[in-house]
Amino acid sequence: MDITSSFTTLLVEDSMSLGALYTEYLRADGARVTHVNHGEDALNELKQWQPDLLVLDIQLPDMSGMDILAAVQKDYPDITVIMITAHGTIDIAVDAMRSGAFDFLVKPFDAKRLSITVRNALKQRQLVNLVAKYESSLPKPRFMGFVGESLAMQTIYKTIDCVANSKASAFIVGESGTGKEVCANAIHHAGNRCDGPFVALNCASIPKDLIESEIFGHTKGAFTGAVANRDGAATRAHNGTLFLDEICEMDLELQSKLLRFIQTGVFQRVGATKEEKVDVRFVSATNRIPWDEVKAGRFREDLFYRLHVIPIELPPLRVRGKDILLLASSLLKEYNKEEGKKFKGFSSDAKRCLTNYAWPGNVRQLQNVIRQVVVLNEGDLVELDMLPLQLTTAEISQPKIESDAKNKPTHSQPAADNNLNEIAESSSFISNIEPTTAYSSKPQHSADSVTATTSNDEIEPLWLTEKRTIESAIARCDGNVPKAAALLDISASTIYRKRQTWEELENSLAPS
Amino acid sequence: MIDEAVLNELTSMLGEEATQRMLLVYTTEVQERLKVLAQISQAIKADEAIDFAEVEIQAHTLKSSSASFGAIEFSAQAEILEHAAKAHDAAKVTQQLVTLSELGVETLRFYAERLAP
Repeated sequence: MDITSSFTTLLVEDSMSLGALYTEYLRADGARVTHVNHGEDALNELKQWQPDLLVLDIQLPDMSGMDILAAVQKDYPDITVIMITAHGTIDIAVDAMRSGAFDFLVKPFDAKRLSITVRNALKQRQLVNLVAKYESSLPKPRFMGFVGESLAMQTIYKTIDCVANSKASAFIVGESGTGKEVCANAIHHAGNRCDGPFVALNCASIPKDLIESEIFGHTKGAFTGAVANRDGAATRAHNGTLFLDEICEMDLELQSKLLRFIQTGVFQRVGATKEEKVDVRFVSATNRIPWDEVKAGRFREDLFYRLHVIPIELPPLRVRGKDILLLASSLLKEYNKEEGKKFKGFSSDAKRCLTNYAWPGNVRQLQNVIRQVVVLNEGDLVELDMLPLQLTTAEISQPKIESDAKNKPTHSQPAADNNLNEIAESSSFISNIEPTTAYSSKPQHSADSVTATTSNDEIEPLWLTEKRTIESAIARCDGNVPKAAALLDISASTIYRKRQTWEELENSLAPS
Repeated sequence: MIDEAVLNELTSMLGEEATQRMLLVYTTEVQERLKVLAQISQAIKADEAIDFAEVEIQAHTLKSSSASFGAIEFSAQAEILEHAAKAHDAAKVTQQLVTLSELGVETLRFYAERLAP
């Protein structure tokens, strides 16, 4: 394809004769040319349309071409700029190159010189577009606060991109710790409401009696303690986004008021007689299965249909494959900086352990684990024994979880309890997980291991299992009880108390 | 006074008709800009302050466009005027305005003959 077959050019040249001449030259090369004489006219044209090429004289009657170049670099960085300069202003032209111009031409120049420069500029432009196209086809490792390049997350990024500019309500579902608020934030900031407010409200954390006032605000004297008028989340979110987290925890009575607000944008403050109207985009989230909540009569069906316009299902960490290590590395870097540590990465054993763990608490749990490792240890590499026992023992006792969607507890799967977290930890979930060859063939000789295949006579009292786990942790920490306690996520005094209890139990069991 | 090679190059690139059209635009522009400079000369004669910035803009454009259309001597004299204006050299500007005006008449005459059918 001829790269100069069709391209648009805005020519800014104050001389009528040179403008006409350069227009002829450019048209001969296939350009559709618009010629203006003044800088102000050029800026007005750029507000209306953006050419492929801007051919810009440095010395203009009303402003410097450098000012226009700066504006173009700021507002329209995709435009390729060729500067035109007279013999005396070459220094400025060099500055222009430093400021982002592609090339400059010194007057007088002929058609051939202009043609070569234009062709080079178009070639470079074509290459830049090609690279951008290629880059956009690659998985994005980061997106609006998310870290992850798995297919599951790429789908989420695309969905966020698509829905960001819409006013349609989005409903985010996912287990705790999967990033529902990050997702809501991303929808807000990727869209045309990004300059407006983002107001988040956790429906589960606000007492039932106060939530109406939190959403709609109240007037002075509306209830005991309402000493002044107060704006609610609805008012504060005007022209922005209102994020209702844990929406399924909302009281049924309030659900009907919320429904009216969503339908009309109109609401009444608690204690007020006057109605208010706002322009708000709704994003809701829950870690429950919303349709099950509707079926159980805990969530209004009409409200469900109002909010559940664009469902976004965040994948649990265990199905995100290599994202686990990507996230772990990103968190390690972040916490290194905060804690003044120098970890450069993870040992292969630690990587394997992190990858194989089920992460019932998802990204939030991973954050805690990496923070714990960074705070409690020193070194270049995060080793397996620096990871909490919770992870390392699970690695031995639990089969590896397949990182594909078929094990994902989807909303269509039947579940006794509709809390996604509990599904993840329930036996029905574990039974879905097939042991890998690597783990099923591993001899389970470790003293710490808690096997799932013991016969009845091998079952021992729980305190003995607990004792072995704790003593093993202390041994692995070279007798350092506080460190072992931290890794076990309990207090050191708990260990001392338990030791006391074990001694008493052993004494009572000992033959007299 | 005129670089014929430049005019020949224009003709070979654009063709005779387009070159004639371009030269017409050029000569019209030169006349317009010389009129502006004549006004400034009048103002100088009337002991008014010299508008150096305007002289510089007009001289700069005449320099560039004239070089592109082969009027090399006119371009060179416009450059001298541009530098004098930039240096706020009142005497030089006054003298160069006269020189450029006279040369402008000659240059325009040349192009008028070139454009004649």
